[in-house]
Amino acid sequence: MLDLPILIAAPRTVHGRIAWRPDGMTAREKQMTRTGTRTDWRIPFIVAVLAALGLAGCTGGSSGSGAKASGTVVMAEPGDNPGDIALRNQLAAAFMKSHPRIKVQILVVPATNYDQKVQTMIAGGQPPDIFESGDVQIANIAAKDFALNLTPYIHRDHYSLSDFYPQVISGLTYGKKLIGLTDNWDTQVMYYNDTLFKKAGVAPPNAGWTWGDFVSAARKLTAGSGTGKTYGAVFDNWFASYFDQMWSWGGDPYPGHGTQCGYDSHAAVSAFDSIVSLYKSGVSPTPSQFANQGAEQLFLSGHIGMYLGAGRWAAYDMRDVKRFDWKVAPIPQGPVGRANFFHLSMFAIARTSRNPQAAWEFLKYMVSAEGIKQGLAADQGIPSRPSIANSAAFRDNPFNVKHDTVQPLLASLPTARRAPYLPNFNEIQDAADAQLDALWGLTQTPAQVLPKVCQHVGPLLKAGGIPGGG
Amino acid sequence: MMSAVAGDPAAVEAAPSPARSRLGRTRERVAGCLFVAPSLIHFLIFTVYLMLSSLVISTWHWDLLTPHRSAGLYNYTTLLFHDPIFRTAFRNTLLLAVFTVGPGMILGLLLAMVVNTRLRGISIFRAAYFLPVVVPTVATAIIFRWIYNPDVGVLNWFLGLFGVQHHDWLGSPSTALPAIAAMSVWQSLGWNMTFFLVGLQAIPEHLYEAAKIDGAGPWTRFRRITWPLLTPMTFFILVTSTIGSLQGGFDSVYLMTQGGPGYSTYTNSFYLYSQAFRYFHYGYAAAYAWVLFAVIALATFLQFRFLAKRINYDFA
Repeated sequence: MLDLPILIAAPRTVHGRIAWRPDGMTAREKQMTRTGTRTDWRIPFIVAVLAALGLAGCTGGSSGSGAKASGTVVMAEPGDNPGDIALRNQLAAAFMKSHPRIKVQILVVPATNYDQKVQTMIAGGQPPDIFESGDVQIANIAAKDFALNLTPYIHRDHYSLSDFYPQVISGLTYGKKLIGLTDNWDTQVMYYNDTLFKKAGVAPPNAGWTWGDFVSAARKLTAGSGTGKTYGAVFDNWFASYFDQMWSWGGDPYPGHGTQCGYDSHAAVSAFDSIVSLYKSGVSPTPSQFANQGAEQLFLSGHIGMYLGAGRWAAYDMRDVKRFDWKVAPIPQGPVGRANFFHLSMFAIARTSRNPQAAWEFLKYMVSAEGIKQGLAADQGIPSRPSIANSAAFRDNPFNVKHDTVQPLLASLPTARRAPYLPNFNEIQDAADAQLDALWGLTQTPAQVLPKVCQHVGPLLKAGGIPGGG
Repeated sequence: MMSAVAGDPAAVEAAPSPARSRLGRTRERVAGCLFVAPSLIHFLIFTVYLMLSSLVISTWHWDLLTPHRSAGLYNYTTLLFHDPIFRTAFRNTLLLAVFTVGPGMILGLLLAMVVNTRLRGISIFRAAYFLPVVVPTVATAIIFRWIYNPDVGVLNWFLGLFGVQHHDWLGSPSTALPAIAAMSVWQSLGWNMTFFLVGLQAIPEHLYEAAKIDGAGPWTRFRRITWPLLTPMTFFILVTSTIGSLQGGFDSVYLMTQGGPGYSTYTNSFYLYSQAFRYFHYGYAAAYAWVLFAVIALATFLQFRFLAKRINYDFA
């Protein structure tokens, strides 16, 4: 049935009077709209024939509809990771062999402001058929409704979602719409320098560690002074990290489904106190000390015991480290347990895609078991399908075994927290971070700063940015 | 067509009939129009049309993806009367202009006078001083971030030799903006130097010789000859630097501080960029751009109004 809009996509107007909606999925959207008085018997006839053909294709299930899809699929790939670009091209080549009627074109888009560029392409009437997005941008995409709702495709093709982690599917579902699928997921974990731990005779972190255990170990690992100082830990002060801290202290940055500000709660103040005390006590370098090179690079110097602030992607960055042994552990538990930001990227189809059916076929291929397996070497997260994440090929990979880069993430999945639903997240977070700078500069205390955060963020939460939308 | 433009001497001598003369003038006009047409069309489409479009967009609520809604003057009134970040960004931009334009011009002039000699190899020095202009701002920003590093930065090391305590230059709201301004001055020094050098070399040597014969010392020669005769170039640099600094500040702020700490280094261009490309408030950003345009136009008008009379164009 979905072949219908594709086949009739080109003639948007007939005699300048009859308009077609090429991208529709519902019955209403598949109807032609007559705005004129002239009747042309050929058009309903053609529609009926095409509809019949489409219905015939639909009865064949996914393979049937896929076999009929044809044309070009343009996928916008962020250009910051050569490994990802190579993988995407590899997947496209393999897909085109099995789907000779579909041509996949990987369009490398500069990674800086990738989301804005994709939105500009969509607004300009030249949408990529498939684009990537994730985390905090997903709410923006859902609110502005520019990703194709995949749920009708799932139902039509009887496409099984049972082999995906439920958290992945729920994380990509807004309202009753599934707006994307993914080949991997990620969450915040802790990296530690095993060599330093052994040297200091400190027991390495484990899944049961509390924040007290973390601070105690960090103090034991801290040694020396000046440029040769070894720090017990580094806490990267970006929002995902301090959200984790707030959640695990019983707070919530944006409670009430993103309608309220929770920075000024007692729990939030205590959570930020715990972070600031790391900087003030000297067991972690301060944000201004790691501003130039970043917390991760500082950890790679070998002078940091533990690193809080990244997901599994950092393991990929650390693959060439030879100077010390490093491993991964779940982040420590706070007073109310553990909470770790759920980093969820996705492949989505633009709602205005000119070839949604073919795009859907390629998207399915990328997230299929076959597609995910091709990317295991380059994958920075955990495969989105448990059958692959738990497979020997992935778990027993020597790199994963040596650095323990799988089990701590799987253990953290039940406590993973989805990004707040804030369509204007950038603006709200910029306003919050502008106030938090005084905290990171250690010039003011959390009790002084956090109420100011709510003073600035509160109106934006109510108004959705500039009052009226700007 | 070329003959129509260049004129035909033979025809002029022959005193053509009025009809032929009119035809010739028409052909000249057509040719002139055709010559300017490519540039004019480009200007109309890519400047005038887009400017007018942005004026229309400034009266919308629009995020690119959902249909726009009319906003009337709402974006302008919100910006001018209800947006404290705009006021901060505006103040910071003015401060950045004060920190960069004056010092940049003074240092540029001093440098130009130093390199305005006929020593062998002086062109190497001139090129070296000009080098920061062609170094990408990204590279410059990375270098300056290390210079300002509170722990291992060379600035704190140097000041430490005199007993000054380490300071977090970019992390402190009071010093972040001056620190960015210092980098901008260093970047623009070669540019200003080159223009002043051109101005200095255009001053006739015999004026200095005459002044020396009359017993004028270096300071008098500078005050009575160099400075007055440099006023056209000084005015040019002042106007372009002011426009540049009121428009600019984006690259350095984006790369060095991202507007922080707090809003202490938010500039107009950075905030405008954020509104458009981070928050998708295109109507608001368009209104912002028009307000900025009006301010820059006013500043330039005032400079012409009050300074143009004092310019000395008579030495040539």
